[in-house]
Amino acid sequence: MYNKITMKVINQTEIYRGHKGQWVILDSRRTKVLSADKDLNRAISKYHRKFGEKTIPLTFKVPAKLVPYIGC
Amino acid sequence: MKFPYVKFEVFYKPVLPVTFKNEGKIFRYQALIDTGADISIIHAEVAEQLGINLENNRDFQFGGICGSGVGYIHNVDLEIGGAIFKNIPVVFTRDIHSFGFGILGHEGLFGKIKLVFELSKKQFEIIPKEYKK
Repeated sequence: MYNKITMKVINQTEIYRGHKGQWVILDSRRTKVLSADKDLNRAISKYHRKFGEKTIPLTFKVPAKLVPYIGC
Repeated sequence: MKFPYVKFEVFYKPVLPVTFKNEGKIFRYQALIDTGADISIIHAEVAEQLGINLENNRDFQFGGICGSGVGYIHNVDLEIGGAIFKNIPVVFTRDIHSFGFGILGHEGLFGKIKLVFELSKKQFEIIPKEYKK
């Protein structure tokens, strides 16, 4: 059952810098943004217009600011 | 199931893709594993995508070091790296801070898995209890 995901660190720094506070749709490697919007529905609609509706998009709400996370 | 840490600026976080399933609806979302969290807490917009009417569900108050919030609890199925975890309680809320992440926490999930964090290797592992190598 082990997946085949590479164990190389995934760097989402540029995704954070470019999309603070937005919903993004990520590619399968989680390193590129396929669509983005402040509104989740619009982000998904943009994705479907570009890539069709056969695949299920991987979404992520990008934090508006990166600070040390302490569970609140 | 091994996953790489995700780097945001100087921070390395145990963030992974998870699939939520509810009554035929499927939604994929990148969430943070939070071993300090009692329960999973996810953005309310996800509930809409899963066809969940939040107002029909039980109120749930939660709190942390920075404050508190209110959400609605609903049980969904989770798929992580090909393993399916049935009937996991998730709190859907509009009160996740804009600096925050959607999180996977203990209730219903952590009893079904073993978690191994290896920050030195920049990877973490989720081992379902029924899984045998």
